[in-house]
Order: sequence, then C-alpha cells, then structure tokens
Amino acid sequence: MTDLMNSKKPQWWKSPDVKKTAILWVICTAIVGYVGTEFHVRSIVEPASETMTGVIDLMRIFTWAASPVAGLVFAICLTVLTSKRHYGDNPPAEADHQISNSPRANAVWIVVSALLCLFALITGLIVLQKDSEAVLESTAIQMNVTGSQWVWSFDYPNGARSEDLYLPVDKPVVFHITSVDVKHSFWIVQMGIKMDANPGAITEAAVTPNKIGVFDIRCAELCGLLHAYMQTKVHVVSQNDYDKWVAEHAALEGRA
Amino acid sequence: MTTLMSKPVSAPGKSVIERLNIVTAVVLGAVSAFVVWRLALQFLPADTEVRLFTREDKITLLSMVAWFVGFMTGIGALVGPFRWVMGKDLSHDENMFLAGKDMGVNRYFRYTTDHKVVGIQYLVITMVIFGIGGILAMLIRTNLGTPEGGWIHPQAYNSIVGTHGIIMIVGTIIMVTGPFGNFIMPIMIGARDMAFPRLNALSFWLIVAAAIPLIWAQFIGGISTGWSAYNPLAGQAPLGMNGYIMFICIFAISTMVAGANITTTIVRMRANGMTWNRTPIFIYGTMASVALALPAFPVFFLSQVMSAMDRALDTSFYNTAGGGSGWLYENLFWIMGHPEVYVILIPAVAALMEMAPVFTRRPLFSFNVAVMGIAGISGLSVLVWAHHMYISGWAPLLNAPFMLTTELISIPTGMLFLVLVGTLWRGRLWMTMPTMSIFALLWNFMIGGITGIYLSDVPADAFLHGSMYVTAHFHYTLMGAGLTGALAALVYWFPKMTGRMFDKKLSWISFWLVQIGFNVAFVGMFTVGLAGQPRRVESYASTFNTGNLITTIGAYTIMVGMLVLLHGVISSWRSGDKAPMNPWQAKTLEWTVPNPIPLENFDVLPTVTSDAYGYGKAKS
Amino acid sequence: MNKRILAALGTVILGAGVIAGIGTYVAAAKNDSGSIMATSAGSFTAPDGKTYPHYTLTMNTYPNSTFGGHHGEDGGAHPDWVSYGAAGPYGEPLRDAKTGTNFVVPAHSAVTITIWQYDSGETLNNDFFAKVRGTVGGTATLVERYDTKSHTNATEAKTITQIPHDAVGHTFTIHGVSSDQDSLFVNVPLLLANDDEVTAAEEEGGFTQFPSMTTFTFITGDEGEYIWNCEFPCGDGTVARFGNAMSAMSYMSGHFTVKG
Repeated sequence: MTDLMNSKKPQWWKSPDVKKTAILWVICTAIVGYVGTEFHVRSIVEPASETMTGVIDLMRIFTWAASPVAGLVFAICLTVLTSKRHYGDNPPAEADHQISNSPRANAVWIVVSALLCLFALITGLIVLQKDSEAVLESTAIQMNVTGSQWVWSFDYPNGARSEDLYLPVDKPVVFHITSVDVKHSFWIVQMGIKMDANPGAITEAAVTPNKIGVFDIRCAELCGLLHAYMQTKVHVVSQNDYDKWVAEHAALEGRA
Repeated sequence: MTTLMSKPVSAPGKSVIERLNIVTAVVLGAVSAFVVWRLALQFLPADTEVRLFTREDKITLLSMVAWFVGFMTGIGALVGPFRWVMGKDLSHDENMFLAGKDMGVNRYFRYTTDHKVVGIQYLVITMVIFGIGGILAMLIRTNLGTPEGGWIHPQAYNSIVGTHGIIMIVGTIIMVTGPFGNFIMPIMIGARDMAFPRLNALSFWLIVAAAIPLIWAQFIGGISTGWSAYNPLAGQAPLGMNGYIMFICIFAISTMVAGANITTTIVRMRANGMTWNRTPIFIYGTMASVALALPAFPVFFLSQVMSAMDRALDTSFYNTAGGGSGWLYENLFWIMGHPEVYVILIPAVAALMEMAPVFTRRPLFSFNVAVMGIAGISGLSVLVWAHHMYISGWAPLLNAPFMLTTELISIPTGMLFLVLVGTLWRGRLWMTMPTMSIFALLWNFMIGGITGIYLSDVPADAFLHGSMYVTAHFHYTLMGAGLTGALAALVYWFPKMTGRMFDKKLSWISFWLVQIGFNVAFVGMFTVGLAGQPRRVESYASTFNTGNLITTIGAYTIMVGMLVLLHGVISSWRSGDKAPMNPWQAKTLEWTVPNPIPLENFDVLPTVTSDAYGYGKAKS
Repeated sequence: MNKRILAALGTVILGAGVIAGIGTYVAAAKNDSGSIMATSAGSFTAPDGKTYPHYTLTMNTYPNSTFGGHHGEDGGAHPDWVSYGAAGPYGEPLRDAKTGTNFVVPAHSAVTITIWQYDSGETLNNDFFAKVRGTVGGTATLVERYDTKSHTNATEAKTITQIPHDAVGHTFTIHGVSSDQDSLFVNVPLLLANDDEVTAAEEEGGFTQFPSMTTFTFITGDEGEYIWNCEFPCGDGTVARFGNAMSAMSYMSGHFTVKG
C-alpha cells in the first residue's frame, strides 16, 4: 500500500517545506526562464533572415517551456539544502520520512514531461515543414556551392564564379551544395542555415536574406588541416547592386 | 602453492604461468611488432601507381596487430584456452595463483582474475587515461585562450583534439563500470567473483594493449579527424589513423567481453533472495550500460575495419569515387555513438542514485520509476542516432522521425531526475562530497539536458550543429553529469576498495574547484558557439577572444581541482585514516565485508531478505 | 591537515609544470616556424591611378623536398613530398634557407610574387582554381619555360587570366578567417613544367632546367592573419589526393600575414 507524496493528512500543501518549495519554484522558474533566454539571445548572432529569427524565437520558447521543470528541480534542491544539514563522520539519525513511492507524483511528472515533449516536437515539426518547402521554391535563385579543401566557391546562375557570395535582399535562394574531396559543412552563420557538403552528392538548403550587410560563412565540419580557415563572406545587397555585380563577374569569368 | 613450486612430470607450462606479467607482455609485443614490421617491409609488394599509400598502411596495421598478439600472449591471455586445448585444464591451485592469492603487489601487474584486482587495475588506468586526456585538454585550452588562437599549429592541434576526444570517451565509458562495476558489483550482489574471471582480466589487459597503438599514432602523423574519425577524411589522414583504428578495434573487444561478463554475473549470480525487486539500482545501471554496449560496439568495430580496408586494401565502402558513401560511415558510427553516451551516463547516475538514500537516510524514491527510466533510456537510445546527422543531407525525410525519438528520450531521463529529487525530499542531509555531487549532477545535467533539447530540434540544429555549442552541451552531460557521478563514486567506495577514507578536506576542495571551473569553462563555450565559432578550429576570429579566455580560465581551474583530487587519491591511499567496515552506514552488501576483503569475499554467501533502502521505518 | 594541503599544492604545481613542458614542446614543433619578409621595391601604380608602396616575394615549387631548405638537409622526414620553398631572385633553390612557407607582407601595399614551378602537373579537383583571381587586373604574367641556367625567358611572357585546368602544376591560393579583418583572396594557378624533363632531372637528383614562371601582383588591405595553400591535389595516393604533403603545413601551405 503506497502513500501520497507527503503524508496522510489531506492538507499536504500547507506544510512549511511545501510552501517554501512552491515559492522557490516560482522564483527559480522566473530566473531560469529569464536568465536562460537572455543568455541565448544576447550571445547569439544578429539574425539576417527569417529562418534565424525563427531559431532565436524557438530558443526563447523552449527555454520558457523548460523553465518550470528546471525551476522545480532547483527549488527542491534549495529547500533541501537550506533545511538542517548534518556534518561529521557519522550519519545523522534515519529520516522520519518513509515514503518510498508516490504513484500520483510519478504520474503527474511523466504526463507533464510527455506534454512538454509533445510541445517541443510539434513546434519543431511546424518549422521543419516550412524549411522543407523552402527548398522547393521555384522562384528562388539557384546557387551552386562547392567546398574544396579549404575554400568555398560559388557558381551563379548566369555563369559568374567567385569565392564571395553575393545575394539580393528579400529574395529566396536555394543552395545546391557539394564537395570535391571530403565532407564539409556550409554554414551561413547569421542566416541560420547549414548543410553538409558531401563528395559525390548534392544537398540542398534554402533561405531568404532579409537584411543588407556582410555576414559570415564558415565551414562547420572538420575537413582537414586548414578547416579553421575555410571561411568567406556573404554580401547581401540591393537587387540592383546584385544584378550589376553578377553581370560584371559573369563577364570576367567568360573572358579567356 | 606446493603444486607450483615443485616440478612434476606434467606440463612445463606451469612455471610459464608464474613468469608472465606486464614486462613479458610488453617485451613480447614489441618484439613481435618489430619482427612483423621488418618482414612486411621486406615482402609486401610495392604499390601500384593508382594508390601509392596503401603499402605503408598495410605495414603499420600488420605491425600493430603483431604488437597486440604478442602483448596478449605475453600477459598470459592464452594460458587458459591453451591448457584447455591441451586437455590439461588449470588446477585449483593454479586458479588460486591466477586469482592473486598470496602474491602481494605483484598481482596488479599480472593477468590476475580476482575481480577486486581487476577493479583496482581499472581504477588506475582510468586515472592515467584522464590524466593524458586532461593534459591534452589543457593544451587545447591554452591554444584557444591566446587571442585568435594559433599557438599550436594546425596539424598538431587537430591531432590533439582527436586524441583528447577518443581518450576521454574511452575514459568515461570505463570510469564507473570499470573500477566499481568490477570491484564493487560482485560483492554488492553477494557473489564470490564474476561469472568469467579470466574474461575479466582479459577485458582489462585489452585496454592496456590498445593504448600503445594510440600513442604510437602520435608519432606517425597523428589523428587528424576528430574523435569521430569521419570518412572520407579518415581515408586521407596520415598513418596515425591506423593507430586509432587498432585502438578502437581492441577496445571494442574489451567492451564486448566486459559486457558479456557483467551481464551474466548480474543475471545469474545474485545472492539467494536477491530478487530483481531487491537488486540495488546501481546494479541495474551497470547492467544497462554494458548491455547497451554489447550491440553498439560491434558496429563501431566493423566501421573501423571497413575504414582500414578502404585505406589499406583500396576498397570503397566510404569513397564515392568507387561507389561507396561517407554517409554509410556516419550511420555506422552514430549507431554506436549515441547508445555510447548512455553507456557513459547511466552508471554515473545510477551510482548517485545508489548514494542518495545513504546520504539522506531515507528510502530511494520510487525504485520502479528508476528502473523504468534506465530501461527507457536504454531502449530509446538505439533509435535516435541520426540526430547527429540532421545536417548531413543524408535523408531529409528522416529528420522528423528522429526528432520524435530524440525528444522522447527526455521522458525517461526526466524519470531519473524525479527519483533523485524525490530521494532528497525530506531526507536528513549528511553533507559529504558525494552528497554535494548529487546537487552538482542535477544542476549540470539540467543544463546539459535543456541544451540538448535545442539541439534535438532540427531547425535550431541547423544553426548549432558543428559549433562550440555542441561541444559545451556534451561536456555538460558527459563531464558535468557523468564525471561528477564517477568522482562521487570514487570517494564513496574508496574506503571499501583501499581500506582508507578519502581525505575529506581534499575531496571538498577538489569538488568545488572542479565544479566551479567546469561551469565557468563551458558557459563561456556556449557563448562562443552561439556567436558562431565552429568546432575543431585552432584559430578563430577576434570576436571570440573573450569567450575563449573565460573558458580557458575555467579549464585551468578544473586542472587545479583534478590535480588536488589526484593528490587526494595518492595520499589517502598511502596514509589516509583507516576505514571502518561500513563508514557510511549503508545497507548494500559490499559494506558487510571486512577490510581487507578476503579473496573470495564472503565466508558464507549471504541471503537477502529485503532491498537496500530500508532507512527510517520504510517497508521495502 | 595543513601539510596535506601544502602537499596537494605541490602536486598542482608539478602537474602544471608537466603540462607547460609538454605544451612548449608541442608548440615549438612547428614544421616551419620562421617567416619570409617581403622585400621593398619602390612604389607601384595600379590601373586605377592609386599608388602603393611596392614589395616583392619569390618562391619555388618543387616535385620533392630534396632541395632541403626549411625541411633540413636531406629533405626532412618526407623527402618525396612535393613542397614550396624559398627562392633566390632567379628561381634558384635556397638550400640553406631556414624558412620557406610563411610570408609577411605590409598592409596597404602592392605585393608582387614570382613563383618558379619545377613540378609536372595534372587536373584540378575544382576548376574554379584554374582562373587567376584577386590580382590587380585579374591577370598574371606567365613564362611557360624559364631558363634557369641563363636566367632568361625561353618562351615569351604572356598575360593570362587562366590556364587549362588539366595543365596545372600547383596553385598559390591566399584566403582566411571570416571576421573583422579585411577579406583577402588571391588565387593564381601555376602551369606545369614538362613532365619528361622533370622526371629526368629527378633521376639525377636535381630539378628541371625549365620551370614555368608566374608573376602576379595584388593589393593588401588592413593588417590581418591569413593562410595560403595550394589547391592542386598533389598528395598522391590519398583521398582526393589531398593528403600527405597537402595536409601538412610547410609543404603546400603556410601562414600569410599582413602586418606593418
């Protein structure tokens, strides 16, 4: 016969350590949620695409969703640590508390964690669905990306080739990524997209840059000696500037 | 004893058994390696134009295999099987000799079958492994602590990173099940030894044999691929890659052997009355861990064999030019790689779950949920591997199902949290370093777990994969949770294993230094990951300077803490306070045997009538 | 108690010392730790009219490392590996040079590099690198056969924007970390030398009399740390032929520092 989590007395919520834990729970949840979110939001790069904004939002949401769980665990820890602690070489007397199980507590915990899990899953699936469709966008600029040890090179639709990536703002682009030697990973940092470059295969990633500026492209898969230097820049410019640049470079490429 | 000292007319092998030890093993191994090396150099045909590299790979591999065979022969691994084949099985006296009876310190340098000896051997080698891995970590952090890095040149750095990774992975795999799974577990279940004592010695000496190819590798070009040894990069790597391959193959055998041994022991040799309901939770954790390793490590083994074949025999398992695929390697590797992190984590958490009732003087909260949690994690862990491959482009349609299974693992993991906080609730807290380790685990594992949730989300992973954020996450889980549990287990079981108490002050000092240093270090690492620093780079943009400096300062703090711990181990072992039989007043069976523990543990095998959590007036 | 803590401190210091020792050894074991400074050469006027201080560098690419140089007298641990190396003003090997693949050039300057290419060649993995990129005017000057005995051009100097992607000996490609520093990207393909002549000379323990010679100029921006490596796969026998010499510093790669 198992007992309730605390005692047979119906008003378990009135006992002092429960009240203390409840208050601490609220405080810890708020701290974990706030600090966790601020930590991520302040450390992360400035977004340059909707995709990246979505990533940041997702971190916010997940942090707040997880904070009650973390808050409860930390609250219980604090309650325990601030009750009488025994030091010395001999153990204190055995605890009065003899409860070794609580089906109700177990059930609540498992159900809540399952619900949180479901929440995380659905949130993730929604965004994942959007990303999968973005790769099929027919009006997108089709850009070929080649990773060679240890340089990225880009093939533009009109024949231009460059080590720099130029993109027009607010226009979707689909990258077709491959490698000529070992595995690399094509990461446009501030736009929140990444896709491995595999030898013998072409993989896809899509994004719509929504900010004019210069951003970083870094290789994210160890690819040998100079992996740390396999980096270049992406310049997001106005449509006009993009058209001019691409035409210039196609001409340069074409010249013998 | 007399059987061995006299020279009867029977097999001359008897005196051989007495002579075999680590010295003969090393000598025989080195000689074999040298001989095979010369022979291979002489007789292997030259390469064809197309693949000029493979002859050197063949020579290296053959020499390493020769080392392995020579070493294992020299340590005496073949004695048992050889005698059995000859029809003259080992006598009782010889078995007692092999178990280290009356041999003093020498028994630690031989192929000794006593599980207590093997446990101590594992403890020492784990400390050596962490020492080397730690030195490499300090080199990495010193390099990254200098602005923009670049103090160590790329080749050496990549090899240091890869070696640090694989050494620490191996160290964390064996850190709980090795010393404590071997020394403590049989006594805890009321057995005299393990099911297969000779396999026990084998599993330990295989690790020693495996270490040499890894060290050897550093002098023939190093490991340039990171610990995951991705192909095709591994195919391109210098000769040192063969050292990695041999290391893994031998270690995989060690793990499989240990897995068979530990599982059989737990299933078949528990004392009378120790039903599954009365089996301590640490036993469940140990068994789950090795049971997980049993299917996972053969896959790792095969993945490396194929890598060696691609290099030395010009096959194309992983080379697209020949019709193969690097994705095959990734799948095989992560099919091992994910269960493997639970192989690391579960025993550490189970050890802390075992300690929690002792240091709160109240029953373990919901033993059933604890078992369910361990079982759930073990079962699910074989279904999540491709979350390491979300961004590989391998199978975009599979990202969603793997996201599902990965998110699901948070449920059984949460159960372990429930058990721990439930056990802390309304306990009488006895403040020791293991006690505080429980709180440290809850803190570290919470952070590790939540950051894992971000990573398990495919769109977020598109930003985070391959960045330092991932490195920080897995250090929080494997080191913040795993190592914390292992260090607590060390202090907790130290009295039983060495007969002395671990110096209290040193255990506290090292605990705080390690925990504070750890959190400082890896919080700094999260920030640079979020700011865009990739993994495995020896040099980086100046924007990452501050974060890296913070991490390096944290790392140096960990170093001081670990060195204090090392000192604590050595000085307590040599001259610590003599320990009483049951210093923690715990209720598991290992605390019912005296120090020093008799060779066969129990005079009379115990009969168990209740579980080990009967603190207070709780019923089982 | 106090003694134990003091002793623990001793362990800490000892441990730190061991680490420091190993670290120093590892850091010092760079293949090629020195740098070659660019030589001043007056001033340079770009096509757009701007003038810059002018600096020059010379270097050679070899089919093996027997030239010694920064690898040591007999070519070091891998005498059969292809390698870059320091060169004299007429492309002569500098066998006693202590440094070979790390270069330092000043900021906001025009840098002219001349490379004598003594190796044969084949096809690039990625033909992106067959084109001259990042230089002034997007061009380089190529002498297909340079006579190292008489110090003259055996064939006419040509202005090139690319070379056939299957006739590449090596490339010189400068690139670097994406960060606050200025981008610097220069890629110049180096024509192969005649295969038979190269092999014949190797058998005699020397190098062909007729390497190709490529000269190009580029403008540096602000100070920064970059890297250069060859993009021609000459690590025979390895995956994508990018192992061996290609994956070891000081053979086919090095540091390129813009400073001062």
